[in-house]
Amino acid sequence: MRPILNCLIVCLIVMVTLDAYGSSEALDGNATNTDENLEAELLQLNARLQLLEEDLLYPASSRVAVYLSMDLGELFALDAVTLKLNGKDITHHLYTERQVNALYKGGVQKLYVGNAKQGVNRLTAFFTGKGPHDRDYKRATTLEFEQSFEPVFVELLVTDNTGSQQPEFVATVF
Amino acid sequence: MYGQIGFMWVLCVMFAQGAWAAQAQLTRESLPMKHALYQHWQSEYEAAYRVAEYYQLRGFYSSELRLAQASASLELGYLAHGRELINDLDVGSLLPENQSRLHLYLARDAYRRRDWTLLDEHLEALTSLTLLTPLSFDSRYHYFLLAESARQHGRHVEAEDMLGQLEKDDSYLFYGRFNLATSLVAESKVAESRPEAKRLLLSLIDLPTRDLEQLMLTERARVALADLYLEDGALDAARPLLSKVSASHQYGPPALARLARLDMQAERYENAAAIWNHLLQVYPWHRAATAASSGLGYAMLQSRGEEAAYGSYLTALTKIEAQQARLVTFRQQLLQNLRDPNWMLGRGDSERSLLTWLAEGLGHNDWTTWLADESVRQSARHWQSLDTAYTQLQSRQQDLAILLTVDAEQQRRIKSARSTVYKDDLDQVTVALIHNIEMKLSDLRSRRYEITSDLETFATDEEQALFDTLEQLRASKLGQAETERIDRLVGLIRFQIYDAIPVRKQQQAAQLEARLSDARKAEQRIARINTAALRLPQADSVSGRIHLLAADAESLSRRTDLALGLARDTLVASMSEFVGRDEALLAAQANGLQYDITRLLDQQYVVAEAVR
Repeated sequence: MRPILNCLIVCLIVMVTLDAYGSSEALDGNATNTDENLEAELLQLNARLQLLEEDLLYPASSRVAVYLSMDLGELFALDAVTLKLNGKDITHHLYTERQVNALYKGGVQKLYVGNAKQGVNRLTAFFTGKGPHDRDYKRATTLEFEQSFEPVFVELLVTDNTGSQQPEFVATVF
Repeated sequence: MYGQIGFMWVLCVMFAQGAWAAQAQLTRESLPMKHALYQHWQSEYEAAYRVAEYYQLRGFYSSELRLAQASASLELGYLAHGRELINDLDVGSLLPENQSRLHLYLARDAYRRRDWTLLDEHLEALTSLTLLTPLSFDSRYHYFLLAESARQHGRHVEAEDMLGQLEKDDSYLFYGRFNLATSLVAESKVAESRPEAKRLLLSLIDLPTRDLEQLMLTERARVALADLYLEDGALDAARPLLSKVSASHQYGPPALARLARLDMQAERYENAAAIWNHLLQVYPWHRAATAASSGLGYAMLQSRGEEAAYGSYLTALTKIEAQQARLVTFRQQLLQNLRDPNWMLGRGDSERSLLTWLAEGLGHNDWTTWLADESVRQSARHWQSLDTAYTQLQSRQQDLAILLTVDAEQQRRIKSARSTVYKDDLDQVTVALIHNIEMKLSDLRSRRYEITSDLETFATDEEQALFDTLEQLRASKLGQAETERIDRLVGLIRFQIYDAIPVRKQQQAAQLEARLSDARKAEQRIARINTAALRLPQADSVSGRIHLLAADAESLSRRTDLALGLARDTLVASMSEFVGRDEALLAAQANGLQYDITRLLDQQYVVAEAVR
């Protein structure tokens, strides 16, 4: 958006870099604080909206949320994950380098949130990527979970089995 | 400067190390932090902030999560808001690593605001929490701040010692030494720190540079050192320093102007004229070229005589007058355009970049100094953010309208289903049905069947029809032989049925179980409808939440629009003031030239009079 203003901002960044020590950083706080607060308020409003959206579209009694995390992950370079719930594709995610790095560093990705039927459900995750020796690697892991009247949290964990020198894919309800 | 770069580094490291990144079994308690981290690691700070806020709304709270939110907020440039979040933190509950990094951030913030007392407090707290290690970012920044604090208190040797811990290519060393030298230069006018200042500036010039930022600092140091030499009258020492400053960079024009003055002092007027001429050709309206027109005229006067000087003065004056006229038009266009948000935001049909337009209109690139001004930076940054926010808020209103529709539809379905259930007493019917089937199943499984009395229970429809037909025949007063035959047939069928009892029992049980399963599903469905209906008051509050959100979004949208207008007005006023400075400068130059011309004409007149 707004190529001209973007250009202006880029120049500002350059100028910030060029501007040696001593530029007047003392600012009148009021206008700035108001603007900051407005922007923060917008972020808070977005969070409230997300919460509301989830409460409405995925009621607690049927909500299932799937998270992906990595432990070590040196034996597997993640490319993509496909999720199936009761045999139906529910999501597919292709990872960027930044996302994979964020997972390596300990971040947890919210991969899916949706509804599951009451009773027993079957979740299958297919992981695609490069395994040991840079070979194409595709593995699946399946989890059966009972959907009662409470939301279900599922963790998909990619970890290294140092004994077998193979990656492991574990799905658990937490 | 440090306000941005230093701060981001601090936060990156804050997240990069310590327990925040530690791997452990995922729990519902650790999820919020790790989820926020996932966004943070990708530099998706808005998302990180939103995630932290989301989990707090869901009732998860931890100091670390709050710190993550504060960090995201600060990364987004919401400094005051981030500070508020940090102030609300229970610092003691943070992990020690994060406590020390928080103090480092707060020290940086105090430094940015030039609050030296607060800086010292945080540095002290930091020192008691951490051991300095030379190569980590935290330590580098810590050393820099320690040096700055020492410099501020006049402990220059200590400041230099602290800077001495840094690697030679570390930008903090460049800034630290430059700041220290600047302080010494300021003091050198009244004290004896001049040689120290020179030594520091010289050491800065000798450092190997690895990027433009460092190069600019060394160039600036060259000009500053040259100025010291010039003040001391050491012209020969100043010249090589100034000659080495790259003409195409920021400090090129000031260095050229100084070189021209040096040549004038040394009476090398041809050289001086060439430099002034170069400045006027390449940077005609640069601040450093302000004296170029007069300087060129004077150099021409000395080297080529009055005629050439007069011509030079007149040419310069004509140029300045033309520029003044252009500036009047430019100012009108600029103010008109800046008041049109579409123009600034690039939504119009203007293909040209604002920056090119500014450069062409002003005739120079000094507007970069305008851009470098902190208030302008802030205004432009906030203008962009506010504009994005405003656009987002418009779409949020649409999202909320959709959610309202979804909510209304869900409520309608629940009410309709519940009305159906109660209209036909379906809940009671289902309960009775389940009871009935269960009784039958129990009976089927437990009862011992008698061949004489219970066989019809297991008869198929065909067998039952056959029984009925045979009974009708029997009732039609047949002969004994026919009656006996009918009895035999009935007996045969009864034996057939008796033999099939186990199989038929299983079939009946399976049928009953299937019916029981259906009935139970119906019962569960009714229970869900009832639960949903019980939640209707909550569902109503969802509508309430949506309405509240919509009202908040509208209010925010209105305030954002106002703030957007204010940010624009700030930029307009600031740019107008900047153009005003150009106009004043041009007026001063024109006055100077007119004075020069008058003086020259006076001299000619005096000479002519003398000759006469």
